[in-house]
Amino acid sequence: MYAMLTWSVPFVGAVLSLVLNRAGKVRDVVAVLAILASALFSTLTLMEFLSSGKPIHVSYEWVSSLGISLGVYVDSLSAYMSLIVAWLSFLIAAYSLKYMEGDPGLTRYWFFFDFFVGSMLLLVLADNMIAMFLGWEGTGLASYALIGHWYRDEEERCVGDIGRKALGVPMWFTPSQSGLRAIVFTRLGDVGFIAGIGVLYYLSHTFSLPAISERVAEWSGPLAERGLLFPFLLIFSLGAFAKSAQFPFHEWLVTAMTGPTSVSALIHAATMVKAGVYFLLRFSPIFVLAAQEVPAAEQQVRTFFTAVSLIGAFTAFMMASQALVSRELKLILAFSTASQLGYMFLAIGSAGLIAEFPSGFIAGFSHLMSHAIFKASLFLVAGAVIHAVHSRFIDEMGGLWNYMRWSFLAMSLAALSLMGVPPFMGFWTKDSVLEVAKESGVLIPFSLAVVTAGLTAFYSTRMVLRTFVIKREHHHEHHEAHPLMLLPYLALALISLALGAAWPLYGPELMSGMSLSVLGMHEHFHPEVHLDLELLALSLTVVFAGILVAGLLYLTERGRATDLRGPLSAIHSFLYDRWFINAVYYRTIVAGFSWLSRGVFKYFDSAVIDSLYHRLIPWLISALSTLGFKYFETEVVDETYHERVVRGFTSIGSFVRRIQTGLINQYLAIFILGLMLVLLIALWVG
Amino acid sequence: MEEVILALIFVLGTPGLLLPLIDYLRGTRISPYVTLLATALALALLTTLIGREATIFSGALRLDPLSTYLSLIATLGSFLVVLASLPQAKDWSTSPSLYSLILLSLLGVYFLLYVNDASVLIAAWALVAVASYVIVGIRKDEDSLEASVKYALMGVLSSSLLVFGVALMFGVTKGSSLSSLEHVPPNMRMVLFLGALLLIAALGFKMGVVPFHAWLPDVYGGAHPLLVSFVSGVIKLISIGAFLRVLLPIIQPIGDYWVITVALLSTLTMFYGNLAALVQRNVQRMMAYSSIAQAGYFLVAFTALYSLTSRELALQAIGLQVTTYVLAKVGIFIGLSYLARMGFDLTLEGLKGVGRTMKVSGSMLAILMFSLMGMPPLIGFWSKFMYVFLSVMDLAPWLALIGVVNSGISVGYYALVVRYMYFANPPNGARESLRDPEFYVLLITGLLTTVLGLGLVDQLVKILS
Repeated sequence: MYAMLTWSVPFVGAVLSLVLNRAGKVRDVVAVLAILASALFSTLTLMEFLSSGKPIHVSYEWVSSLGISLGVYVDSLSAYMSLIVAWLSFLIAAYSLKYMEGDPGLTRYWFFFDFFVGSMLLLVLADNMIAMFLGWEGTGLASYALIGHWYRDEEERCVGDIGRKALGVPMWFTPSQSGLRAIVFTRLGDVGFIAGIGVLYYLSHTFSLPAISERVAEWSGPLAERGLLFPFLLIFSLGAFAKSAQFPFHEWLVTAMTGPTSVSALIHAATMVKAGVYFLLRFSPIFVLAAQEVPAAEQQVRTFFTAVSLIGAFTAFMMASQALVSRELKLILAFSTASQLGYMFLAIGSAGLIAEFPSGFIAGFSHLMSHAIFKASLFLVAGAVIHAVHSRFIDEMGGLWNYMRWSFLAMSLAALSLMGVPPFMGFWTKDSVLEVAKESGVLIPFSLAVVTAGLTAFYSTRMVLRTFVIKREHHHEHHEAHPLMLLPYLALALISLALGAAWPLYGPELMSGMSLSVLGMHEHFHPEVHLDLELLALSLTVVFAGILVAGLLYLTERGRATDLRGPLSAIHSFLYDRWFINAVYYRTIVAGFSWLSRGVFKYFDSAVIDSLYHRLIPWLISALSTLGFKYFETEVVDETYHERVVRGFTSIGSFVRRIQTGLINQYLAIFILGLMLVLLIALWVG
Repeated sequence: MEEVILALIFVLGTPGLLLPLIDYLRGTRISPYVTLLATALALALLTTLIGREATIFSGALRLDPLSTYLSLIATLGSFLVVLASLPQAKDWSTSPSLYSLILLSLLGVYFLLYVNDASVLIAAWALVAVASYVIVGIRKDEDSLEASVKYALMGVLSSSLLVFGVALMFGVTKGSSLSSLEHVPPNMRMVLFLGALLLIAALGFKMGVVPFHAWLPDVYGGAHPLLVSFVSGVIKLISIGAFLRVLLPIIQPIGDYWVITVALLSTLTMFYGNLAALVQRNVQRMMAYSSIAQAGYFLVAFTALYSLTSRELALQAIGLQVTTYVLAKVGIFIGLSYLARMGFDLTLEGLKGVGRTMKVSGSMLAILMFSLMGMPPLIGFWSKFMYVFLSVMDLAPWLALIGVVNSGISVGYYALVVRYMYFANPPNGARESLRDPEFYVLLITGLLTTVLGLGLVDQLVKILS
């Protein structure tokens, strides 16, 4: 019951914030309280679940004729996930009370904020794919609105360098463009998701998640026998790849930075992008089950998991490399998110390849949670800094630690966690990801992941140094952030440290709680904290190397991109222009599509019709009138009549011209020809 | 039940015939209000027929729950159009004729939805068709006239195909009742198919099925949006009704030809409508192309009618899709007419920031667009994804996939309109007012779209089957 309230209360909050449109502060506080209530309910849900240890399944009939219910399914995955989503959202909401103060569009902001949180919780807790899809689309819609929140498209709200182009394609984006990009990019993937739901329903006649897991042989069998299981899994997960900004869908996340920073924190830490990872966590145990129950499926499921781990590792590496050179604070964090999401995908992909699936599952899941905590903290600090300096570029920051000591502390702690420095929580979870990747025995993803660890250390150090440490000339006094903003991110950074420090003590217990009962996962799992010394040495070496190089470069002022020459400068612009992927998309996909639709349009409606119209009709009229003149001139020479005929023809001509700009006979010809064609095709095919 | 139909004829027919006389002769302008009252009364009368099944007037008409449901939606649509027309049409010199035509063609729509006899089919078709040509041209300005003449010329062709098709089909069955279509001699399959194809062309013309669509962008894009809301929202239902009544019984005898033909037309229509809509800069014209795309979705459900196992689902799908379509199209075109009246230019550029000043109307327009896009949990999501596409899964999963891909494409332009409406600086001036009837029409359609989607889908399905 608590679980139903967990996701529905934020929706109530959303509606209330509309109702309290004119109530100013009251509206804001009510919206935040709704999320607090949801967070409390999520805690109660978790306690209820832990006390029984059995999944809680509550379900109400919704559309009986299709067997669609509206219900919740609480297992350890959804219980812990909703806990982290709800509490993080609450902290971010509390932060935005101050951060967004005085913004003219606050009703809209709070409506979509609560709507966003509610949708995410619905997605997490849903017991069937339709409700899940509802939440899924809800997050997409809300993000569309929130990313484009500053719809006026002022220059300081944009992302990217104004005026910069790559391959002739502009590389800066206004908020409204970014909102559109977010919805179009993620909708591309959703087409795969909904098609997958359709196939599952077609084969197993159910939308319910537990039933999908029970009837796993029913749907995976027929697909596997025809060799279609691998493509199916890939298409079904397309939505997850798009939502979680994995290659080749990563571009939207980068430009999504045009939203208010609190929204970026929300999207990156708890909601939206985590939905894709959650999707894989939710379904991968079922996929593994399919491999166990249907012999024919095993190889295809393995191929799928290999693909996931490859894409994950590649994204992790690519995005980390782009973070190396970025000049915008929020962009660095955005690249870093996509890169860390790649780690999670890598963990889940590797999990499917190793003997002990649950250990990989837990690695991905716990990295999701630890990333949520430190990334929320990082974004919130970034918001405070951008607020204070009035610039999004790190070139214009620096030396801030004098003025914003607590913020400096928070960012350093969170960044250390991101780098994976012991004993922060990020260290434990990242290391377990690397361990699983190593165990899977596929070399490429593992080595990419190790290199990424070094890159991560480099860009995180660079970010902290250039934001807070290195002195810049001529800057003004800055103030520490308001306590309401400071407390959430400081608390999160400290939590990340404390959780990490205590990990050896409570880690195993937490992990066994997290895998207590997961839909489709039947093996029992006894997690323990153990360290693979070889791996530990490797990863720590890489991490400290990254920190060292960055420290040397930036503390000694050698790392300025302006001094670069030759191949280094080429690499720099390759990374800076995001591997030219955005430009290539515009050049191929966007241009291709607009070429196609323009072509269709032109051919049918403009070109043929116009040319015929301008020739055929005038010719006909003039021929007729010449004939007419001849006849009347020889037979009846009457001035007035003569004039009338001329006028008559002219008026007929202009009348025809007036009503026929779209040439009706052309339309009629299309009609008849089309009919004939359809008849021929039907006879031929039938 | 015959008395309810007679009452409907009286309620709509009498004012339909008398109003212009009164208004033109006495110089009054009472027709809008009388029409509003008459449609409301018709709505009430129709509710008494919900769930009834009967053959009446010695077999000329047949009632069933789906047709009654469609009639209700048509009446609701007409009511909303008349409501929205109050501030504008009063100023048009020809407005009494407009209301008369609305009433009479609504009556024709009922007959076509309940039709059970070939003669009624042709008579009612002619009534509605001729009325619709006049409605399009009723403002007598250049654009409307052009649209009207085109529509009429194309209409004549399609009506003659209809008559020819009917002649072929009933020549085979040697009876004029539509129920005679169920007993067809098997060796006459080809003739039947030919007749059916002519009918598909004639009905497809009204729906805007490619390649019979050519008139539609000019008419929907060129005529006054208020008139378009009636033509696209209400009149279009006649082809759906006729499809269900005339073609449904012969789908089985025709066999595979049905699936091939309709699936082919559906694919063409969806792709053409959605791709052409992508490049439009004029929102009214864009919505015209979106109507073509929507016709393609209807054809997906019509394809599914072939399979006896999914026929029930497909019929429900058609009912729900009509709900989505009528609410969205009536709402959107009335919304556009509202915006035009407030002095906005109906291009993307012209609509910049509209959502910022006209908050309620803007958000309702956005909801309606999202519903057409198939965004959950609005009614459009249910009707399109959960009913239409699902119904064809058994028969032709690939068609469902094409449909899903197409609704992916359609995001491009619907989201673009919403983007222009919201992500721009608000224009100066225009404010919505609680005294504008269009405001309420948008509110009703938008809220219905949301509320029905949130949990009343099941109830709707019960009413219509």
